[in-house]
Formats: sequence, structure tokens, C-alpha cells
Amino acid sequence: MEKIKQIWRSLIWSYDPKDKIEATKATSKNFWLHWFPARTTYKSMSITYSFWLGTVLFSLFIILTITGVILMFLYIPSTERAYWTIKDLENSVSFGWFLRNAHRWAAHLMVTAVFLHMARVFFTGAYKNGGNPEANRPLNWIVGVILLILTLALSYTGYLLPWDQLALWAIVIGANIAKSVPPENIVGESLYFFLAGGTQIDQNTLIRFYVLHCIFLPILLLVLSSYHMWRIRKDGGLAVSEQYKIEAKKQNKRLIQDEYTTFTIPFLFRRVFMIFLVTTAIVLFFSVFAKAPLEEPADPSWTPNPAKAPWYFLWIQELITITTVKIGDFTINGGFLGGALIPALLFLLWAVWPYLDKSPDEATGVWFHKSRIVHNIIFAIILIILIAVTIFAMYFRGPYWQVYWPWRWPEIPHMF
Amino acid sequence: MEERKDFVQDKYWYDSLWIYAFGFIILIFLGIVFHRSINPEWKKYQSEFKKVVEKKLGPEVARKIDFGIKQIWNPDIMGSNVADRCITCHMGVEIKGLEGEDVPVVFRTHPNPDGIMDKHPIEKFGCVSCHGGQPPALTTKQAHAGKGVRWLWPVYTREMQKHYKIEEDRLVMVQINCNHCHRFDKETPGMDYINLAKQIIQEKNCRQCHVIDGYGGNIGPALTYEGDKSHEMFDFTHIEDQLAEREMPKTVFTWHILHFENPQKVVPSSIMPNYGFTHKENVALAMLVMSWRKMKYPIEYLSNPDKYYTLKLIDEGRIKAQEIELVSRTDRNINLKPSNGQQLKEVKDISELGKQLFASKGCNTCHHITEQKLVGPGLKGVAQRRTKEWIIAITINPDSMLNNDPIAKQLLKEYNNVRMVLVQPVNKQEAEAIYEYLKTLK
Repeated sequence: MEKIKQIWRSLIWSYDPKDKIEATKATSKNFWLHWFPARTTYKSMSITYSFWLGTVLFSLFIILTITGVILMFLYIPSTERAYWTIKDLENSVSFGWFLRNAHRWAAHLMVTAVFLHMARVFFTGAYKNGGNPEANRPLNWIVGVILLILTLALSYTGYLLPWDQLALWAIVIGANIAKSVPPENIVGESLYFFLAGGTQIDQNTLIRFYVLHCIFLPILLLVLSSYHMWRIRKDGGLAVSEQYKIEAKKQNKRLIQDEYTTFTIPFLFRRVFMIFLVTTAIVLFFSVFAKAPLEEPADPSWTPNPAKAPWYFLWIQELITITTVKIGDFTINGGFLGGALIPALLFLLWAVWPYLDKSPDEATGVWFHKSRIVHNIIFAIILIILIAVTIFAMYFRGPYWQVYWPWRWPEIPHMF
Repeated sequence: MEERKDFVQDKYWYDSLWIYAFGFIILIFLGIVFHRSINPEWKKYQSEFKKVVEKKLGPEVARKIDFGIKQIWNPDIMGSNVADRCITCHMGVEIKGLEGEDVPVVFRTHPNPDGIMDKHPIEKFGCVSCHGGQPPALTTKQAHAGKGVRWLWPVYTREMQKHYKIEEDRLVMVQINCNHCHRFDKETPGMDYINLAKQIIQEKNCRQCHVIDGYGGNIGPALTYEGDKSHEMFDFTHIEDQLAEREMPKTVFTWHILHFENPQKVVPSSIMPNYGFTHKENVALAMLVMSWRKMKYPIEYLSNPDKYYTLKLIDEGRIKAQEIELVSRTDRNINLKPSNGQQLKEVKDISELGKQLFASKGCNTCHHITEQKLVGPGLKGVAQRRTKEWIIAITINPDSMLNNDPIAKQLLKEYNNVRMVLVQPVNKQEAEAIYEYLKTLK
């Protein structure tokens, strides 16, 4: 019996440190875990502080990589065949439908989670240094904004690959938005050419998006997100842990390690694993109960009515409609104003916001701190407007981009 | 153990429980995935089929059936990556002995009227090229591509024919797909609806206003590839009430039927005449125009491939449509037939000759003999309104009249700038005969 126990223990990873030093060394001794700190603060392990959205994103990235690599074996990036390989995934490839659903849902969830992550960081004031001279969290916030754009780019490039009507026309709209950046004959046209790899969305675009989606963007994302995580450690952990230092300073006492930190292994690691499982379960839930859409084969000769951009770009599409205003003979170029200028300014404002935020150190890593009420209200209003505009464009815009009640959409005709 | 507890406090012990819980949930989901993957819909059909064969043809034959996904792959006709998988469920189509009424329709042998299956072998043509539907799909809903499936070309069924009030006990809508390859046949055995429509196209002289097969007038829209027009391009706003009232589905096919029935009710600004077709004729015409699609079938599949090649040359702009048109006009002059299908008769009365010329020269395509406006004005009492010279002049050379004569110019404006053209040249004697006939219209 003892022997079986021994064999079992040697087979699985057993954690049995004799003293504190050995327990601390557990992180650095393991290759996969050495990038964790030896000890973690209790506050940064809280579920309700961060909702662990960074870990969720990392988990989704792993799921996307695994499913994506398998899908690469089954997909042919050709305008003639791409659609039919997807149809085969749906019909005849073993577990093909599941791989595709999981990849699609994980991708949508990743875009959602990256927005939520950013909102969490903003509302908790986690981009602030909190008086820590070694920290440079505003820089990490900018890296985060770039990662957000990268995630959108990954999702957008992946959107085209099935080469169905949904894909083609969403990409056409996205590319046409890029085309309307003035001066249109110089900047707009070049941007479009850069995106499409030619003068129209065709095979050139498909292979371009395929390489970007499978190689270039994931590697860039991996490198930048590694830097993002490395910075968190260099900045002294999550912003919430600055609270300990501020507290100690106030009460004029030294921090006792055991009181505010615990061992990373097994406690932080176990929680990371738990979040990974939760994320996987959510992805599985969606992929089992909701099908990934696949419409008719891409056909440049007819446009679905209405043609809509991917949901995370719908607010831009709607902004274009809102900002295209005719005053007498003068027409405001909505494509430029709503499609390029306003989003660009929003992103820029978003990126530099930490440098404009002069709130006190106490507001670092605290949800809705009193001193940041104005910041949070402005941010919340922008967020609510964006979400409202997205929902409006998603459910209330019918054929010819007219406004309809979602339940009174005109029936789309069929051929027979 | 006592010592260890001092420095390792498991404050978050419940995390382990969550890990077990979510691990369990993940296992359940993976179980569902596995279950769904090994129990596809088509397997039920195949085991059913085995039972039917055992009963009808004996266990010996049933044992020899090769199960699994079945497909026909013919890159020539379907495209390089498209497999036709209908026979995965419809396993009996080629097996003799399953013709009987007691065999479920799914498994029945394909009927072979007039040896049609010998001319169109399944391994060469597949199923979808004639019947419609979604070739690679392996569920009934997806494969038959009815409502709610994102696929433009559903399987033609008798059920569907009922929606369009086609009173037939056989599948006639399949003829639409027949005509993809038989487009240039004058008459094809077994394609009665399409043949009827083709006859109407000749009789009513539709090319007067429409480009068909690459040539024709440009008063109405070009129809050469009418079947390729997207369902998003049709305006249903004027027929929504009619659809609801007559319980017809909102489809392009219905649109065409209703449009042939009464063009102005569907497109109020249309100048197309209302010919008063019967419902069968409307359906036949709708089927014909829906069949006019640009298909990329190889030459050996086509009937009259030279005509397809000519059309391709016109599409590419390598030959001019007018050249074809001239050839075709002389062609028609030889087979001169009035619209009622009878040859010109010897007549005593010159106005009787004019009446026949009025029809054979195609005047009736645009002009009614009552006061009713068609494309052009109604001709009742025209001899009282205009002089003899005026009528004869415009009958012989409408172009110069429309350019120079003030009355003709005024009429041109009134009739939406649709210029009068001659279907066939008219000489002086013929024009006089037609005038005599017009004089009788009081």
C-alpha cells in the first residue's frame, strides 16, 4: 500500500515543502512557472478586484492557438476552396464543427474580455503608480491599448477566412472605412491597398489576411503580451498591492510579509488553473449550444442587405451614418469624421489618459474611488454610448440601413 | 505535519472544489461533443436503409452495402472542392428493385422516364445540378436548404410547387435546372413548361424590348442572366399585400410570376404590356427567366454548345450583339408566322391583309387596337386623328419621324421617350395595307 502511494506521488507533481525557503523556491525551480513571483499578495488574488480578466485572456489565447493550429491543417486559403473547406469542417471532418465553433467563440470572447479588462483597469485606477517610484504603469496601459488593437486586428483578419457573404462584406465595409481617410487619393487609397493587397477584396486579400492571422499577428501579440506581463512584475504586481504600502505608511508600521502575502505555489497557481478551467468551460458551453454562422459563398456581385461590419466595429459603422450630415450643399464626410477621426481621437485620448489623471495615490487599485469620480463618469458615459450605438446598429438597423424594431424586420426574400 | 501548517495556510481551500466542479463540467461538455460527433443524422438513415433492403432484396444484398459518408465528386460540374453528398442518405437511387410505393421516398430508386437517367448518369451529373440543394451538407435541413438555411438554391419539391399553385402531380420545377444546359434548345422532350415559355418568348417577341441571350432591344432590362440577379435586388414593397392575401412565399420566383401576371402591380412605373397570361404560362415564364444563369459547365455537358460559345463572345465584347441580331432577323423572316401560329392566307380584302401584317410585323407587341395604352398608344380611331401620309410615314420610317415631326416628338415625350422601332422592315404596300386595317378600328 505504501508503495502504491509512493508510485502515485512520483507520478503526479507533489507539493511538500519542508520550510519557507523551500516553498519560496518552488516557483524558480519549475521552468513553466518561474515567471511567477515567489510570493503573492492576498489583495491581488481577490476575484472581485480584477475578475482575473488578464488570465482569462491568456487562457483564451491558449485555446485559440490550439484550435487554430489544428484548423490550419484543414483550411485552404484560396477563394475557390476556402468556403468549401469550412463546409467540410461543418459536415464531414471529425469534430470539425466543434473546432470551428470553439475557435470562433473563443475569439469573440477574447474581444469582449479585452474590453472588460480595460474597463476594469480604468475603473480601479490601476494605471496609476500610486507613489511607487519603480513603477511605470501608464506605459503598461499604452501597451494594453496596443494589445487591444492587435486583438481586434486578429479577429478582423480571421473574420474573412471562411470566405462567405458575412465575411466578405464585413471586410469590404471595414476596408472602405479605411479608404475614406483623407486625403482619400493618397492616404485612403494606400490604406485600402495595404489592407486588400490590391484594388479589390480578392485572393490577394485572403492570403494576406491568412498570413497576418496565423503567423504575424499571433507572434506580435505573444511578444507584446509577454512584455505586458513582465511589466506587471516590474511595476510591483497588480496596482491593488500598492494599498498595503499606503496603509502601512499611514499607520507608520512595517509590513509583515506573512500578513499580506502567501506562497505563489500552490495558491496563485491553483487559482490560475481554476480560471483556465472556467474559461474553457464557458467556451465549451458556447461551442456546444451556439453554432458559428456560415452564410452563402462569397459573391462580390450581390450585397447582403443590410451589410454589417463585425460587431466590435459596428459602432464605427453607425458613427459614419450619424456623422454624415448634409447642410445645404455642404456634406460632412462621415467616412472620415465618424469612421476615422473620432475613433482615432478616442483611442489616442484613451492611451494618454493616465498622464492626464492627477488623482491622489490613494486612488490606485480601488474600484470607483471618490477622487476619480469625474474620470469614471466620463469613461462610463463614453462606454455606455459605444455599447448603446453598437446594440442599436446590431439590432435596429435593417435593410438599406433603415431603423426597424428588431421584431418587425422585413422578411428577407429567398430565391424559391 | 504540525510544523508545516505554520507557514502554509490554505486560505483559499475552496479553489480545489471549483477546480473539480469545472473539470466535471468540461467533461460533460466534451461528452456532448463526442456523442454528437459519433451520432450524425445520416447514420440513422443508413441503418433504416439496411432494414428496407433486407426486407425487399434479402439479407444477402443488405450485407454488401458499403456504409459511411458517400459522395460524388466531379470537379467539372461542381467545382474542385465541392462534393455532392446526397447519396449518403438517398442510398437507393441507383439500386434496381426499390421502385415500389412501399419503399420510403428517401430510399426509392430514381425513376427513369424516357431513359433520362441513361443520358444523365448520376456519377457524372451528381444530384444537385438538377434537383438543387446544398451539395456537401449531411443533415436534411441543410441539404434541402429550405427556410432558415443560408443557401440560395433549395431542393425543388412538390411541396414547394403547391406554394406556387402549380397543379401538377409531378416535379416540374426541376426543368429550371434542365435549362441551364438546354438553354438554346428550341424544344426539349420532357421540358413542357420551359418549352411553353420559349414559345411565348418567340410569339410575343420579347426581344423587342429586352436583351435575351445577348441580343435584343434596350427598352426593358436585359434578361440574359436574369436568374443570377440576387434576391436582394428585387423590390417587394408593392406586392407585400398580394403575397399575404394569396399565401405565396416572399421569393424571387413569386415576384416573377406576379410580374408576368400584371407588371404594373409589381413595378408601377413599368411600361411592359399586360398580356393576360394564364397562371401556367406565368409559372412557365418565371421558370424560364430564373433558369437564365451563367453556369460554368464544360462544353460536353451543353446542348448546342456553339450558341453558348457565341454568348460567351458577346459577354466578353469580342463580337457585337447587332451582328447576331441581323442574322437572327433574317432567320425569322424566313419562318414568318403571325402570332396565332397560322401562315399568311390569301385574302381578298386589303384590310384583312393589313390585319395579318399588323400581327406578323410585330406591331401588336407595343400597340393595342383599343384605346388602351401599351408601350405605345392605343390605335383605336387613329385614322381619324392622323393623316394617311403621317401614318404611312411613321410605319415605314419611325426614326426620321421621331426626329423631325412635331406630333411624333410630342408623342415620344408622352411615352417616356421609348422610341418606336420596327420589328421587321415594312415597305410601302405593306404600310398601306396596315393603314387600311387601322381605318377599320373605329
